Amino acid sequence: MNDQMLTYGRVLIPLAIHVLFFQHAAFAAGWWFVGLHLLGLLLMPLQSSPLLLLVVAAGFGSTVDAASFEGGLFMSSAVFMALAIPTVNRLLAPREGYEITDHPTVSSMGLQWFALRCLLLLSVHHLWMFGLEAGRWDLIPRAIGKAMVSSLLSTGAFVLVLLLTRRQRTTR
Amino acid sequence: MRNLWNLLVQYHIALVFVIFQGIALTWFVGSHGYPRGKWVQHSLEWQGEWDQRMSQWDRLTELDDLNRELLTENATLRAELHSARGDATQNTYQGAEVIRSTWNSATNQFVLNKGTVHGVKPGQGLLQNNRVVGRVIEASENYALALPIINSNMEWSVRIGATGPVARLVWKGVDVTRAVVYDVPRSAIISAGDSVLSSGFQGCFPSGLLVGSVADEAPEFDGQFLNVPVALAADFRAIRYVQIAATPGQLEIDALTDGKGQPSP
Repeated sequence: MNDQMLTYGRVLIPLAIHVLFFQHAAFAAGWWFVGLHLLGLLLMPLQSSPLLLLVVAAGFGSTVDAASFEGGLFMSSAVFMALAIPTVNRLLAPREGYEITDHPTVSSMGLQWFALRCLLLLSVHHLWMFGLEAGRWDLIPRAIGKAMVSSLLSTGAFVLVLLLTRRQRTTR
Repeated sequence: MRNLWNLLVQYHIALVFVIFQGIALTWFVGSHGYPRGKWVQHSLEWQGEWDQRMSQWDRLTELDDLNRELLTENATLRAELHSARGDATQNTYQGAEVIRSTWNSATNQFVLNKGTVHGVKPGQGLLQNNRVVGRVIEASENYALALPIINSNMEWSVRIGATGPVARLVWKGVDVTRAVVYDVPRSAIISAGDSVLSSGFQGCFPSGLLVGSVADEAPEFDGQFLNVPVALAADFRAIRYVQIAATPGQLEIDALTDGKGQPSP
């Protein structure tokens, strides 16, 4: 499997799994939202243009919305997260910048880098999503709590998924 | 056009973000009961507030027209009032707007937006709500030039009280709220607050119109006469609309008096 196919797979497979199996997945009485499609967005190449990120995020979000009858909630949140991706990438960039061969995965950038990036971006997504869903100022503290819990648990889950699915290096 | 294109290219990310958010939020608001209800509620409030503001603005812009109508109606009613009282000389009035005025020089003047085509003639008096303001001295087709009381070159015939002595009122050229009535006999009994009224002798005003009131200041003695300070009734700094008084028979009276003051040889 060449690198390009692998990239498409990394981005599209989480979306497909989310739409097919996890479209209504919320655990811990709604405190943990599993947005597996967000893993696909997080795995978009580091060199992706901001415009491409926005378009892909809008596409992913609207697909999830259509599948889960949430009417724009996921599209809005995903677009918000996509807007933050270049900034977070810049913030976490190594001193010498990203290499052309770098991928936003645990195996390429390390566990700490991936977990931190994942936590920051998921926080942005979940804060917006739970805030929008709350719709009332008196429910905002609860929405923030949900966003934080959900971001932490999802980060852990995504790290786990990547660790379990990473390619083993073959030695000759 | 090119600059606009450059601007769009420069901020295309923000533009795309706003477009996507707009689509998503519209979709969200349209498909969720609670936000839809809140949106309808807010939009009704905003619409109501906007309508109210627009209506206030409309009322404000209509005020000018309303003012003109009221002015004309006032003038007509005043003429009818005089007619009902059976005044010997039934004055007619017409409203006019002061389009230029000065009040900070010694020779102040007004320009009115009515002229000879509206029947305005030199010599007619100007009133503001039954208070004496000045006199028309020139009239072109559409405009008239008037000199107010606060013109130091003008003298006005006034009476102190309804039955008091007649004297001449002159503005001294400093304070627009004060004038002086000269040549009041020392025997006259005058108190502060007494009305100073038009005598009607100048022909431009009917008699008995308010000019001002005797000010609460000591009069000056000038030989056998007193110079009485007067607080003017009209606010010359705020005048915008006036009534032009026309005395019927004024031409006939002028014709009688012109050149007849001298004894025939």
